[in-house]
Amino acid sequence: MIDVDLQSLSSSDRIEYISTLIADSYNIAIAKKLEEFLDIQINEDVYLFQANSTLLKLYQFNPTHLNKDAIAKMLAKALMNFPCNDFLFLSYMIPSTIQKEEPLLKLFVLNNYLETCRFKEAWTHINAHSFFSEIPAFTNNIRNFISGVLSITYQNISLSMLGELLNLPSQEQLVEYIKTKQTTWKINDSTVSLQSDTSKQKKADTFTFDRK
Amino acid sequence: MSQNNRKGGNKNFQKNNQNNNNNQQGGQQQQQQGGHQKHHNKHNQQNNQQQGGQQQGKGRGKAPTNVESFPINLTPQQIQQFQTYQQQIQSNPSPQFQSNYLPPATALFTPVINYFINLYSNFKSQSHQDILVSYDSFFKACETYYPHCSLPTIENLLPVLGDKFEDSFTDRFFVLLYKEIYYRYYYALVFQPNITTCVESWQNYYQIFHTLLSANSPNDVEIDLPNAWLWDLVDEFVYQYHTFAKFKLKKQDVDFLSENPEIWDTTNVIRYLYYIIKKSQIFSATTNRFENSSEDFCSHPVYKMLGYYSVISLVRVQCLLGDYTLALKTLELIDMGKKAMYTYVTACHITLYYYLGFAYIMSRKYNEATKALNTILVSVASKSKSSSFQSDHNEKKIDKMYALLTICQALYPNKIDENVNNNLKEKFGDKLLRLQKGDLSVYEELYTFAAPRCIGPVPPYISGYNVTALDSHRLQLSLFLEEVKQQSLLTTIRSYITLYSTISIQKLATLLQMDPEDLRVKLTCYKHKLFNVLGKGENKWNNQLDIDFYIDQDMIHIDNRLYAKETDSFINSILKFEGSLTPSYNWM
Repeated sequence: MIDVDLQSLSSSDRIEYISTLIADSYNIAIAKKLEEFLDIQINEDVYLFQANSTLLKLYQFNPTHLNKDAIAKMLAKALMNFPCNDFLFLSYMIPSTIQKEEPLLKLFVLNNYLETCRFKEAWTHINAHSFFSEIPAFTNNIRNFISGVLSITYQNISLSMLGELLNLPSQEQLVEYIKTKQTTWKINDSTVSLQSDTSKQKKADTFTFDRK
Repeated sequence: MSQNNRKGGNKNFQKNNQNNNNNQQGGQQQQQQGGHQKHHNKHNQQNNQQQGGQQQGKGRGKAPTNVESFPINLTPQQIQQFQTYQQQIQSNPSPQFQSNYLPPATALFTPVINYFINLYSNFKSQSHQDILVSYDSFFKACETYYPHCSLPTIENLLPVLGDKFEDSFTDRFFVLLYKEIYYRYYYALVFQPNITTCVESWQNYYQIFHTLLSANSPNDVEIDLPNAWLWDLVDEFVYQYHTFAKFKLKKQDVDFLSENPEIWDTTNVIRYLYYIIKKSQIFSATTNRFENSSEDFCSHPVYKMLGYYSVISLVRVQCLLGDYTLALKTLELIDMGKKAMYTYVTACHITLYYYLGFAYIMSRKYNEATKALNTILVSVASKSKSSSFQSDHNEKKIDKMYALLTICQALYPNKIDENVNNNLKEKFGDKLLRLQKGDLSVYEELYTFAAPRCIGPVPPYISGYNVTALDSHRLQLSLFLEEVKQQSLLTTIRSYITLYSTISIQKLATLLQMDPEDLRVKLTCYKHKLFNVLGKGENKWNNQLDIDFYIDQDMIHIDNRLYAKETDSFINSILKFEGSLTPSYNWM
């Protein structure tokens, strides 16, 4: 059961295999496999919170096996899954002293910036640590999270401010990015409309009264 | 009579624990030597005052002497332990001295003997109602006759059954159950029992679980127990685990445990709960159940309810370990309908909702937590009328739940039952005001009061971390306060924007005396946190107390739901009124 080669499996088989593996969640023997799967999650576009939290739980129960680099990786994946609370759930199970040391500290700092929506500081922090840029799709996922928060906050936002919050300083890059959000995001001269016409309509609807 | 009176009385001991301990030291001293009498009397008085008004009144201070009793011959081991204890008391007579030892019972009292025989024969009859009555009365008798010492051991009591006791499965199981009661009583009276007692109690649970788990067919298990007893059994198992995990261990204890790592080990505790759940088949798919109907343990009420209560206890352990996703996921197994099985025993009902509410708060689902806490508080409010002397233990949990609800109301105001709201204002009204002003110290105070004391799965001597690094309870608290800090100012902003339908960021920043750029960040944060609470699928207009807004470049547009609701209902009434007039026009 444990000596299955993860690399040889297709991605759906892999998820299925990992799911059966973590059913036996107090067996430290599965930790190695879960660490391996974590690396796959970092390099490919897959994410399984349950697998990572099981691994963390195994560390909690078997402190001698604790692997800080693996925790850093699962925290990075949790940040990439914002606005879900995965990061919070993991941090409840990480001893407080190692939260305050590298390699984990930088992740907790970034978490705080993102939670409090200090996006400019968040970008400065991300750019200062190569750890983040080494994870494929990391910046992109963070950018998408920020876009989501801005979408629910702003009706219209100036182009320059949007570029700054998304860390896309060049005009071309920004326009390119906005294109990926077509139909909902639209450029009007120097501002960008972040909400589609339909969602505006929905908002208006909530104010009409029942006429039956 | 409520099923929980017994438990209540029992836990009641815990509350006055220190007092009892002191008292009990004194009590023994008086009997044995007469030393330290002054000190003893003082405590005895205090204790009596506290206990006054309860059914036994003065009984708590000293066991009644006006009944027939037979002396118990102590074993050499008991005598030796007792003497060590005596020496300890003499070398450390301070009232703060926390005993971890309970002196043995020295006499068998006739009423206790009668209740015990009663309990035994009712147990054999397997009638729920009768067992429950004798279970309750046996405990009451013990509280009266053994207020400061442990219960007689099963070896002391078995002779009174005489020929009635047989060497059958049922009778052997009765012995295990009595031992469980013996240790439960010990734990109730002593704050931190000595390690020998902990180990013995663990071994007894091991025996109980193994007996149940090794049965091949439900027909072999000729026992039946009332739900309240089954709940007490599982609940006490987790309580003793929790007590043990909170221990500050002495050097010699550590040495002992290193050689016996299975004792009260987290993985083992979880494993037993899990095995019982599995054995009970209560949550297994129906297809499996048809295949081997002869071994259908779910049809056996003891297995079925033990399995069910084990799930609730497992949720409790998961919460204590800080794994809230798993706790909430486990809870999905439980049918939360109005007449669900957890309502059979009040203590179980309360425990379940307490941990549910707590797990939701730690998951930032404040509105879900509010719903859950509101439901249970409405439900207990209607119950407490019927049984006025409800247990202290439940009352304490209820107070804690009010405190949790107060935190929810501060972080995310929601409509709650009017009665519950009044009670909340009465208990924590002033605290709520200070929470709303963002007073972190009050958040800390309420959290510390209301939250369960979280623990690490591995004691420090194994993990190698120092105690503070692994202080799980402190970690949960600091993460909770961090979240509150992140939310700070949001309530202030909320109270300001309620007053407007549109306001520029510049103007609001001036009003709040903060930098406009910072305000932008805070407003974005408000939206993010709101989304966090509500989750993806939910309709954000469910909450009528809340307001929402959006930013159009530099202007904030506010949708005030409260206001809109009033307008809506006003216009609706006009329309209705018009509608009621229309027919008369038609006639004309």
